[in-house]
Amino acid sequence: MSFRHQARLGQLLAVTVALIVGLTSCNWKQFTWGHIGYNTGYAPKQPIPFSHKLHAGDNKIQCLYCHTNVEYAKHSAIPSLNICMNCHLLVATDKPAIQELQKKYFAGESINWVKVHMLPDHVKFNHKRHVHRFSQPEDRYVACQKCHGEVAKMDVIEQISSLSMGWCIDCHRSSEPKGPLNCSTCHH
Amino acid sequence: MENTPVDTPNQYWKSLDEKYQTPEFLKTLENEFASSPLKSEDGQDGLARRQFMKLMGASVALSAAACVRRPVQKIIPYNKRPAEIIPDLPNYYASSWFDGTQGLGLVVKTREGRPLFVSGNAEHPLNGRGLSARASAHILSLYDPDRLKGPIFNSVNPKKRRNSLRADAKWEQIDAKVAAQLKKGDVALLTASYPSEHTQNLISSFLGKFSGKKYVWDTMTTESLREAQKISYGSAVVPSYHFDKSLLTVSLDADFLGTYLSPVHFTRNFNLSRNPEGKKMAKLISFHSVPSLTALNADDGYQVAASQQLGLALGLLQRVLAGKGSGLTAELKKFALTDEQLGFENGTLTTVAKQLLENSGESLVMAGGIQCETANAINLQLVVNWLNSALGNEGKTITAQSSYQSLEGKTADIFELMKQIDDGKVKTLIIHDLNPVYSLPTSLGFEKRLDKVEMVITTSNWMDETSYLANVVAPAGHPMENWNEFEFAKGVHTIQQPTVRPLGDTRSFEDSLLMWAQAAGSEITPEKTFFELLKKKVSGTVGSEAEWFEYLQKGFRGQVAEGGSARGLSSAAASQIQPVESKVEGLELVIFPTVHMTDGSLANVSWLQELPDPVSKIVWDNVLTLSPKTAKDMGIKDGTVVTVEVNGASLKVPAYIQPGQSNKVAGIALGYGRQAGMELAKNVGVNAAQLIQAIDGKFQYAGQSVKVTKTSEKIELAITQGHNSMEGRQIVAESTFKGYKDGKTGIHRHQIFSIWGQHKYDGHKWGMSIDLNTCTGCSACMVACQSENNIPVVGKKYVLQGREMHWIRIDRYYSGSEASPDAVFQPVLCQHCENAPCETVCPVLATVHSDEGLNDMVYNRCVGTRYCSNNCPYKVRRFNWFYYDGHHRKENLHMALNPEVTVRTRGVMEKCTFCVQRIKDSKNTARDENRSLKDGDIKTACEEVCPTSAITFGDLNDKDSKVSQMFASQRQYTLLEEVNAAPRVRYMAKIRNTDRAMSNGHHGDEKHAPSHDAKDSNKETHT
Amino acid sequence: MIERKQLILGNKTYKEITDDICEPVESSPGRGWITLFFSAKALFLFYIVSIGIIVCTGMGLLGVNHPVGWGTMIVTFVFWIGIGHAGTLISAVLFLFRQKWRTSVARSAEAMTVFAVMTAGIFPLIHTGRPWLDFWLIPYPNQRGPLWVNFRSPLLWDVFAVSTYATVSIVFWYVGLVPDFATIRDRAKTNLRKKIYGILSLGWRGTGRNWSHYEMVYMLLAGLSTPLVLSVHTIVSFDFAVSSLPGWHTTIFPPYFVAGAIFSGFGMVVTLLTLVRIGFPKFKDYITIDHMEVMNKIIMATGMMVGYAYGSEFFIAWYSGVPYEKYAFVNRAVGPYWWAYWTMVTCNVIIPQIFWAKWARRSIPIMFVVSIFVNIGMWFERFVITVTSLHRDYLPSNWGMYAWSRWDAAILFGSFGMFLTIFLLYLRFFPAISIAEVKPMLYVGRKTKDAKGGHGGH
Repeated sequence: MSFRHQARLGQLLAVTVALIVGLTSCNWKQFTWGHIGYNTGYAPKQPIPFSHKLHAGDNKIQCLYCHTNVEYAKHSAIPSLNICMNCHLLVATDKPAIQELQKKYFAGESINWVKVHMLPDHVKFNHKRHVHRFSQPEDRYVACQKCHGEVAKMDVIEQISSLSMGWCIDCHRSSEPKGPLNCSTCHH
Repeated sequence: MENTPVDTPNQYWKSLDEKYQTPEFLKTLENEFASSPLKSEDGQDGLARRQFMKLMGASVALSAAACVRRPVQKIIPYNKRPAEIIPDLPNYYASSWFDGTQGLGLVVKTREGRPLFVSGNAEHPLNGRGLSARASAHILSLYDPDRLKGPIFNSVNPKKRRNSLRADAKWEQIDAKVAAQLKKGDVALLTASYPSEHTQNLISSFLGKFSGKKYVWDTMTTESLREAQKISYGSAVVPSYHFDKSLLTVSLDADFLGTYLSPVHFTRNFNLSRNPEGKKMAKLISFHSVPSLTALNADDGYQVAASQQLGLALGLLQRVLAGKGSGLTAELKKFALTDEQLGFENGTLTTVAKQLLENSGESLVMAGGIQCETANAINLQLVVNWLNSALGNEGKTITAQSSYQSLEGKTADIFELMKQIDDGKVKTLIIHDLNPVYSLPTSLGFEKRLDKVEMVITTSNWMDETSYLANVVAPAGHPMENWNEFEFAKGVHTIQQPTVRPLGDTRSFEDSLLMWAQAAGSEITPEKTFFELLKKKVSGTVGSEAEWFEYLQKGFRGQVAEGGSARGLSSAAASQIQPVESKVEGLELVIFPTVHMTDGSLANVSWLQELPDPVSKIVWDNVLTLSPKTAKDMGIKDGTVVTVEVNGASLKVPAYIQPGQSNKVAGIALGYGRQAGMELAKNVGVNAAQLIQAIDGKFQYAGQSVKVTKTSEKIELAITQGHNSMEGRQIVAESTFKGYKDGKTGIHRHQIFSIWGQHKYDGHKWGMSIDLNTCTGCSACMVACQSENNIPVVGKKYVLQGREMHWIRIDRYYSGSEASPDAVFQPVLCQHCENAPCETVCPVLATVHSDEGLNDMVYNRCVGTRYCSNNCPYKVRRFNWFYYDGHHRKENLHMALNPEVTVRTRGVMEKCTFCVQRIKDSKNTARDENRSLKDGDIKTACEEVCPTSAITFGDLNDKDSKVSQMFASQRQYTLLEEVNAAPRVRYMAKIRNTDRAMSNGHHGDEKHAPSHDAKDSNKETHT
Repeated sequence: MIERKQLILGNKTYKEITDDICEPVESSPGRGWITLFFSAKALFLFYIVSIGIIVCTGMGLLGVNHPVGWGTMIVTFVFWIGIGHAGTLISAVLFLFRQKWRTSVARSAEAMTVFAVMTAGIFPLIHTGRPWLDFWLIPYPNQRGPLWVNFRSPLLWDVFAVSTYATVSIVFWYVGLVPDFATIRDRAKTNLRKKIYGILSLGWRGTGRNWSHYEMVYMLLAGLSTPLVLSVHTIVSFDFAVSSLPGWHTTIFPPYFVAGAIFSGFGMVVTLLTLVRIGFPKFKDYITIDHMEVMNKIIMATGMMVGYAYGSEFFIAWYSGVPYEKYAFVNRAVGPYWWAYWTMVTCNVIIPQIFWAKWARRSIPIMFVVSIFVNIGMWFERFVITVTSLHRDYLPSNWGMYAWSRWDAAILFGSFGMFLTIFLLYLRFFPAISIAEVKPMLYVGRKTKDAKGGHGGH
């Protein structure tokens, strides 16, 4: 092989190295890497095809009618079956899904909903604090949407925020009055 | 990685959709629901694994980097949510716990129906907020994996029980079998003292039905005390002691701060009279054979052999009486010992007697506990009574008004029972709340006699030494699962309400009695359950339903009767004192209880096994303690295995050199060496009960001559603190009461200046003050912390490698001579320094300063360089060397985890957080109530259970907060001030009420502390 | 005037030089090399397995505990980093000082540097509790807020210092190799060799322009890496000096560490070169006794510097009046770890004194034994600093001992397996002496400039 070839090959090596270095250190936001590991858009099929669009949207049921826990506790909690039965003892009892629901209820069983919005165990998030923080009693509806999106328009519930730490921090930094930024605010 | 994450999961879940319909999948769903809803799919169960495989297949089929979540978690809501339960809001129940001799009022914190944390019932007249280490730990025994899940029947004929097969049984079968047996009559019930009139009534009416007899015996006996009381004052009661009224307490081997009678109550009162700011400060003089917690807290301590206790007491009495112009009879005089017989400096006894006389009516002489169960046990108590009456303490510091009359154990009962068995007068033997096969020496032959009984029934929760030999084991369940009401002290009723539904198929002892009586066709009451019975009785006294609930909420009714008149000392008492000449030559044995183990009933609680013994700091082992001199003479070192022999009975046990122990004494602790039913405690240490001597109808725990022979073996002892000297450094500052009154605090303060500015705190500024003067080293805080913060235990092997995990530890230092050292205790936890050395060196910012002055530790950011721990002057950080989380996963143990605190994984650092989760909760509550935090809203776990309120947490920005005031005290000082880490934890100097010239290491005149490397002691001062 | 010593013995011609140096690369290895190589490789594999087990099971396998948070891994890390110093010193500093004798040892010394740094580099990565998260030590944009690293932490400075050092020394070494690669390429018989060495030589043609560029780059790199000789170990010493621990918190550490590093570095160079001389007898003409003697002088000198540091530590401890400081040093000498301390002193200060004697300086067996002792001593120095300071600090209640386990041993000795494997491979595939640099030294100190020396090489 000629000297020229070797020179080329040598340069090739150098270029690849340069390329790798360049790629890793260039602006990451250009890539979709920003979303890796976060489940934005996660919308699993649920055991019972419950539609928020129907309940919260068309029928204008307040979020807190079912997610009562939000007012008292850290978890917003999936409503217990007896809450569903408030209406569905009578409403839409012809639908197979509802019959399934009633069957479970009277059998004293429960429904294994698939968890959509999931934070790791080392993150402590307090729904109550946030709901009260954001909103006057009349517009709590809006407050929820801040993170959960246009739930009232979703047939299948879907995760719209990345729920990444950066996403939390952004809000804690910007909102007025500012949210606390201690590590122990969320991690302990 | 280019495909938009939005659509892929949808496709993917479609693809999983048809799989969802497979019957096998639906089936597993059912199972999954059947299993505890607490468990999400954490990859432990089959479902998760199959799920994972599917996901793998699916994701590969779809696209390389589709973002799919695994494992998929499920949310399983309540079917009908119980009204009182709001997910993740705790509920609190007032309850109680009876621990052998002491009763405690509790408040139990539960989450979603499982008990998580116990604290004292702040209003309770006995223990108040305070708890013992055992009380904090007994919550873990609720979740003990070794606990029996249900009743067990043993079918084979009694003679062959040992090698028979056992079968799990249904309660119906058990009831039928027992009932049939009961009909034959001749029932005997062996039980321990139990301060519940309801249970007692039930027992007596039950036994009435079957011509049965009750036999009562206590491991931690109070018998001689009661007998002596009977002789001296006419009634066999355990009087109540008022340490808060006593200015001089003389303890003759009575460990009232650690194990004797009601330590938490005593500790609480004891410190009320020991405030150095007051004009007078109570003094504690201890004469002890083996150093106990009380001995280590004494202002002046002296060593006596168990056989000398009586002589010493008489010596004191003689001098006291002399001071009052009367005297002892000749034959008593000859037993009275003199200073040099006891090996004291000349005039010691006279001085003590003088001080006692000076404090007539305000002093207290106390003896008792199994350390005093010698041949002269009753005589000793008689002399003590005499002393107290002579000093006019009777009726003032000692009253019978609110006595513990429920303690009724009698050694005679054991012998009587055995005689009855021998005479074949016992067809059925029910054993409740006792484990005689373990607690009694084999030489007594109780074990063998069980064969002669047709049916032996135990109510133990473990397949323990006794249950192992029983025909029927009817587990009575954990106290937290059962109803009852106690009368711990006369007039103080405390409710015990269940805080969780029985985890296993267990049934309370009382319910069993009811059922059996009914099954045998002789119903006791119309009520079906003990609860109904109890409620009827109690409502009878408290009144309406509403008041009943009020009572449940408050947890107790009645108060400790105040005042009380002095009982006259019977003239006969003196003549009843017939001292027995002790025939001890050489060493004599003293069997003593330890703060964490006592009778061994909680031996299976890992928290207690790994709790360093407050005195010796040994974990996971039982030792023979010897004085430094004795050990030296015998050429014995720490860990040398020795054989201990007392009249034939012999044990092999490692030796431990215990400073401040009497040279004539070898001591060994009870409660170790469990043999059956408790996997964790199995063969940890040896069972000292084997050395108990049964001599003319009495059990003797102390004063027997013992033969100790050295072997060539050696066992490594797991000691959490290997070095006992302060090396002349200012670690615990202390001063004498006199000195303190002259303004000497014993604190050496340094000029600190810094070129850097300080942090600013607009909001809160947390701080903690720890009063070393009131801390008795009882170690309740350590267990409470462990329970609150999900701290793992690591076991002996790793403690040996220095890897215990306690966030708060109690350092114990000795100063003065080896023979009779002074001891100090110092709880050390993360000091949350202003200039925290750990914060600057962490490369990933896993530990940082919060704007309220906390030193936050972020487990999930930690990569585990351990640089922070190296740079921490206090070495309070703990590292997860292995996957310790694993041990929580065992059976029910994960239910004991506090969901508010992250469970740390392998490879991360952890440390005290000032219970930040509690800070947050209190803040939220305040927020919801639209108010700002009040001082005392926040109580850290350690602070909450401290019987003496030695720990105070609060806001330093609030000038009126308790902690701010303490920071202003002149006794306040900073640990390692000169390092200028500027801790937020401050200590209050210890004040010792003694006339001796106190050694204060820091100022260079420290006498050498007993420690192998004390020679390195560095006597420089910082000037 | 004193006449100059000959740098290259045995009246070589240029051609002979080339032949001699290329021989190991071109001939097939002898039994000695093969046995050495495979035993080293076995050790290396064992090393990899133990690391795997430790990472999977937890740091708990090692003796590190509370209070001794750092142990074998950090000790051995500092040890190897130290070894790495001689190379840069010889190649860069001596080059700038125009020390002609350096030429024949420079190449191997540099190689050793590179390999030592590689070996050392492993430890900071695996000594963490969660090695799979080590990348958190690199400041990179992330979705955590973003959350940056702590620039105040010496450990972070380490990351930069060591990586820089590794990069520069590799480049420097490689640039030096280019002309020699070309030589081998030109002598290559098989096509494959031609290709490989061709690529390695980056199309070197030996034109005047090539040479002038080469000289320039080499000079620049030498200048660039000279400060690194000081910086790296200074920063490594900060890991200790910046902390607040008695026995670590010492201003003397930077110079003391650098001196120690050079000391241990030369120790290792002597060890290796004595072996090389045995392995490749022909090299005796290039790596002469004189070379060894010079290095032994350096060993003795730096050894005494280190000794001085030991002494001054005690003085400062006493002079400072800080009881903790004082105790820490007394404890080193007479505490439970006295044996470690005195091993260190003996090996580092006392034994090298034998080099006062010329015969000792020039005796291969003696210098080999001494150099081994130096290596041992320097490992113990790091052990003493790390462990004995930690095991007894401020509060006596925390005092404990290091729980040495067999895994510590595995890690320590395994790392030698890694180092030797790579070094042995290097001896066979790279010219172990810089042909290009040696040739100009041919006539240094030679009596007669006879015309024998044709021009060898290409």
